[in-house]
Amino acid sequence: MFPRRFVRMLTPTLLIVVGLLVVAPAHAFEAGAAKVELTPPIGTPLNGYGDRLARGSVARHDPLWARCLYLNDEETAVFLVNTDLCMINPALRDRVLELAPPEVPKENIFLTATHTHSGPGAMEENLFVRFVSGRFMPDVLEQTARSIAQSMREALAAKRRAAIGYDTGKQLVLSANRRVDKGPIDEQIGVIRVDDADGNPIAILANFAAHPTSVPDSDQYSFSADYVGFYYDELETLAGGGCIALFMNGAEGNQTINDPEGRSGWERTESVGKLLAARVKGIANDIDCGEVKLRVGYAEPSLPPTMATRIQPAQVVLQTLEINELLMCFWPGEPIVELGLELRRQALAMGYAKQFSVGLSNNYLMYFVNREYFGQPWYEAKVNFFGPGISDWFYTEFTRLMSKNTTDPTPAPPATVAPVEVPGGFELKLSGNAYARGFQRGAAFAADVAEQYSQRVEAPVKSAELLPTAGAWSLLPDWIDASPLALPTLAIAARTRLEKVSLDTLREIEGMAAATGLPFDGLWILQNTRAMEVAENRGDFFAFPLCTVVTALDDRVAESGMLVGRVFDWPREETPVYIEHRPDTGHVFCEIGFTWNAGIFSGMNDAGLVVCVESTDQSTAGIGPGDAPIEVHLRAVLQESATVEDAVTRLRALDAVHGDVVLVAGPMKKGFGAQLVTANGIREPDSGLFTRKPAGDGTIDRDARARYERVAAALGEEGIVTTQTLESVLTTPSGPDGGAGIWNSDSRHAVIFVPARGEVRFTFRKDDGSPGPFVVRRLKELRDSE
Amino acid sequence: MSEAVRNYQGMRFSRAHRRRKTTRRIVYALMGLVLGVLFWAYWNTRDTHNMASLIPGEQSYAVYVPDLLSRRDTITASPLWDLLPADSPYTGWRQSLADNLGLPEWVLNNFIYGLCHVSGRDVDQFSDVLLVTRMTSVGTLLEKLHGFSDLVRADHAGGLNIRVVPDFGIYYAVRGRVLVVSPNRETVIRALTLTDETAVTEERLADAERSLQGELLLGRFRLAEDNTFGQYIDGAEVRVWLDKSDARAVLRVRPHPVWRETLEGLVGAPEAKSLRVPPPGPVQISADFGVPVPELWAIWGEKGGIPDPWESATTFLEGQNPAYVAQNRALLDALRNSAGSRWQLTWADINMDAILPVPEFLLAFDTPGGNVAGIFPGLPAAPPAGDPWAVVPRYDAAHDLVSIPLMAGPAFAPTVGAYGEGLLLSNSETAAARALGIPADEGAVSEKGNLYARAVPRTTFEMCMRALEELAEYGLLKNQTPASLENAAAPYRNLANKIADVRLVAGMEDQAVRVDLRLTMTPAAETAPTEEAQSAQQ
Repeated sequence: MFPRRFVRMLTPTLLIVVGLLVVAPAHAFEAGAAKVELTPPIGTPLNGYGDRLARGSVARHDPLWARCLYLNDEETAVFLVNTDLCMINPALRDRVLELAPPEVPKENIFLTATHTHSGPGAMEENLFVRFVSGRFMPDVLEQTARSIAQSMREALAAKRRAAIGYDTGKQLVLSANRRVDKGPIDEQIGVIRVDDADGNPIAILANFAAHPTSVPDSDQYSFSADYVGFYYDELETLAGGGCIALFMNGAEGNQTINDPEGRSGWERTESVGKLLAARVKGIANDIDCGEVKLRVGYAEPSLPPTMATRIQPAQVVLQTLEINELLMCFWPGEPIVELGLELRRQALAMGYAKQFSVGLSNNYLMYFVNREYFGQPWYEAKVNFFGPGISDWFYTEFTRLMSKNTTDPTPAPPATVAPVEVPGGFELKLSGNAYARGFQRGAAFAADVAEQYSQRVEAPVKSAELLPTAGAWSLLPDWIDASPLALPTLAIAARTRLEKVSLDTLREIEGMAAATGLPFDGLWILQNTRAMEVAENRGDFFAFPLCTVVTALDDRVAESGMLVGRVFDWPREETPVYIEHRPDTGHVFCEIGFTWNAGIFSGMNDAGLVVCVESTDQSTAGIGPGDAPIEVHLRAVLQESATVEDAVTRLRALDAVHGDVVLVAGPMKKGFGAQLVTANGIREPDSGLFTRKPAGDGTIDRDARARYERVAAALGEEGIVTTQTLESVLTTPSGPDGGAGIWNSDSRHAVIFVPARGEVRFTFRKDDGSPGPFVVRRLKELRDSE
Repeated sequence: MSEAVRNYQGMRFSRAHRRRKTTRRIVYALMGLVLGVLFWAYWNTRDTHNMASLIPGEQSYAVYVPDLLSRRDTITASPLWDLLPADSPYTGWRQSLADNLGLPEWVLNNFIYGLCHVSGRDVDQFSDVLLVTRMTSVGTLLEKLHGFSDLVRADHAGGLNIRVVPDFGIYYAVRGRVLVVSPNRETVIRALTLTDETAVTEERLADAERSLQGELLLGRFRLAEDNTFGQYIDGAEVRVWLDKSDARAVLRVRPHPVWRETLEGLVGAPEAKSLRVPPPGPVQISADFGVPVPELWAIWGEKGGIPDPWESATTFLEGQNPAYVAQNRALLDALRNSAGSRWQLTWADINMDAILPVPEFLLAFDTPGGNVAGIFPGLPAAPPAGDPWAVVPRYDAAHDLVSIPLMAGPAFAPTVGAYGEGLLLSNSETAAARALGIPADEGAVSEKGNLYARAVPRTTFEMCMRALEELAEYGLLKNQTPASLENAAAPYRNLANKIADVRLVAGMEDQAVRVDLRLTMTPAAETAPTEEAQSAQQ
């Protein structure tokens, strides 16, 4: 009886056991966690705020920790380390990796900082960074690295069979956008829970995005982990059982903590820390733990070019960690929340169940913002040194590391086009989106653009010609080359001028920069040299061009509706170009300018809308830090506007016309017309011959007045103005000895626009200074042919 | 046929006799010739002129070089030559001197004998340098044989019969055993035509010779007012000693009355004092002008446009926080009022770990005006509540010092502490603590004076290089990379390595300024490049 029953029982039991052995994962998942205090001696400078003037700490409000979670699925072992530091700098990372236990490959060590602004500095050798992080103290660096390595050793020593789970929860009141009231926040709190085989908590890791900058002013020189310190204590109390609380900050670039309970000072800090802990515990409670598969993504890609070459590295470590369907992306700096949200969107779209962004990981490249943010006068945008395309760069590089990605995410470079030589210059036909067109232009004239950058930006900054003549810069001795600091500073200053520039224009300049190999900031500074040079009142830059623009309309033209003629004067030798833009959206338009300048000085679109910038001797008057050169804005106007009224409305909304004068001419709601947009308002034609010089206006400068008088005399008070007459007037040398025309020694091109026909007739300056033959192009035919 | 015996002896005698007679005549003639030559030689090498009679009395400068040839070895062995750049035209002089100017040594020894006197009037171009020295009779005799040499030509010179050596561009004449040489013909002529009134007196020359105390040379300068330096200096005397490892020059300058007045206005008219040894460091200054330091700086501020550091410090500190003006001013005033006339300044180091390379200076001074250190313990030990980095003095009892933190840590924290019989002030708390940890050297500089300066070139150079290398590494040095800087610095490093120590003591003495400059060279074994360095250079 017994044997038969036994055999009957044995068979299914064996089947179940065998089945379990086959079905259950073969991984014996292990985990361990530990924390080691790393608070340095009092007196060590704090990191994070420049206005501390790199002074030392005077107290320890609460301890700073290195906290480490060791995970091992038998195939992949990792250390997830969070430190109560402002950042992980390369010297610290290098030393930690030297000291780290060999059981975990270096590529699998994730070093992160909570970004507390009350953590120690003193670990940075870089001269430029020491102004914020304080004097270099090798012993602090060594001790901190040893503490971090010790946390790894202890976590490793504490390893035991474990199970892990993850989930996310939502918060609406713990964080806030620190730049825009009710601006975007990361509502997600990510949680990883690790239990041992008996269900006892080993560690709980939270991923939450907000700056730890809430230590009250009274304790600005005290060491503190900020709200994270309260979170640690509270969570460990709530979890009990020796649970180690870990914290990894998210895409916190523009995120700060809120005051959910209406408190201030330390009470606010404590409140957020404890509420966060409670929320994390709540999420953790609902997590089912099991065994998982780990996967590490590791790369050291080359970064986009930067102006801050002495501060920023050329390559950076990027890591991802996949825990089953959770994707963690480790950013080497501070992404603004928009970047974190977009990367999450992309990851979830790719099939991941959850995604955490972890900022301040492995290195500190400062802030990362997207294009929309890049031109904003906000701190995060100013200390982003890799251009407006850095967000795309990260998306691409992280995508490359994702196991669910099956394609090469690298965008294909746009097709290039070769410039065609025309008398005195070049002609280039661009097509595609703004980036592609910028790329095509940059590729066509890369050498020239690089040369212009070298001559007009690098050299004058190096020689201090472009440096301010007052303040600290002026105190530098002659043998000091300030450019390693001045160029990034200039980049920051120039970037604010992008605020009102259209995204398409931004993309076009990005494309140009990419094709020429220049940092975006470098090319943007180059675009601004016109204003900078003159504003600083220096040498030969002071000779500012005087352009001439004339419009014939109404009774002064025949069937063509209107003619716009202009001579563009510019004091420097440039390579002139005629460029046709065929953007993906909006109007086809053309510009007549130079290889390197992305602005429009003379241009027309296929609707016949003409814009011409007339520089004046007051061109830089009123240009503020938020103003881009007016010519840069005109790209968007030509692409998006079809009528004079619309274009003028756009220009006025931008409030970007200051000392310059912009002629907007072409189709109006009724017929053809023109308007001059100036800082003081709009002026409309009072006769069929419309120039900048109004009748009886005594304010116009003497040279311009004389030239406009010559134009008026040459065209007469009555009679039809033809393209031939205009060509003759525009290209006749200027007086008093040269003739009654307006072509002069600074003239670079002359153009006649015939808006009704979409016709452009242009001539470039020849080597001997005289105008070459007119070249005729038709934009309307171009559009029709499409 | 005659049987008479013919005797031919007489004939033989007569022939021998005649021969003897001839020989005797020749011997007599030769003797006469020799006597004649000897007499000629004696006559022409008589010591008929003294040197003084051929040296103009109204020269602007006169340099006395005793026993030049006997010191050739010392001169040629001097490591001072190593300080000359490799491409210096003067480097050949060392070899020329070692090679006896291309002459056999015995010849040279007879040409220059005893004192060499170099003088002239032109102190701008030195176009009329006149060398007067004595020759031995052999040297004088050898010179008479100049006619056998193509190098020397006669120059009648209105009957003065001087010689010219065109290849070397020099003119010379010999009077008695005195050799007169100059690159300027008129200078030689002038020297040969001096009268008792226009020549230097024998006593003056003898006095100068007597005053020589083993120097390599003694130089005396007298400057006319229309000379570049004449408006500052009436005259000067320099004595130079040289040996195989050291060089020393003692300069005694008589300032022009106008400049002396200016100088006295700036530093008073102090007597030479016993100067304190400055705190340790590669560049040290110790001074005592007999005027309390604050007064001295006030004078310099007023007359030299040099900002008074007390005033600058007070103004700066007052600008920090009005609440702390009283405390800051109280300390500064106490320091100011206590300071005596003795002060020492040391450039101790460059702090490379500060937020930027910061020089560390130590200023020590006597405090006869009161025991300022006694008030330190009375200063607050802690900063004002809520303002931990208030720019206000605080007392550190552990180190018995007072500091005022400005920014960026101890490198920018002016600090003062008791030091020997006075106080020590530093721009850096770190440097001050380090210096105060070493007992002050209560000794005095070996020589009295008003100003003592000492530098250790090798340490100073390397200290500066560290800072420059850091700047170059970050691209902050115009047109220099770390590699190019290293190359550019190599000759200077080589030079600095050769000098172990430079010391200067200057002081007022009988209305003159006395400057004693000593250069101690590094022993050759210490400057020899190591194999690694050589291979690195290759």
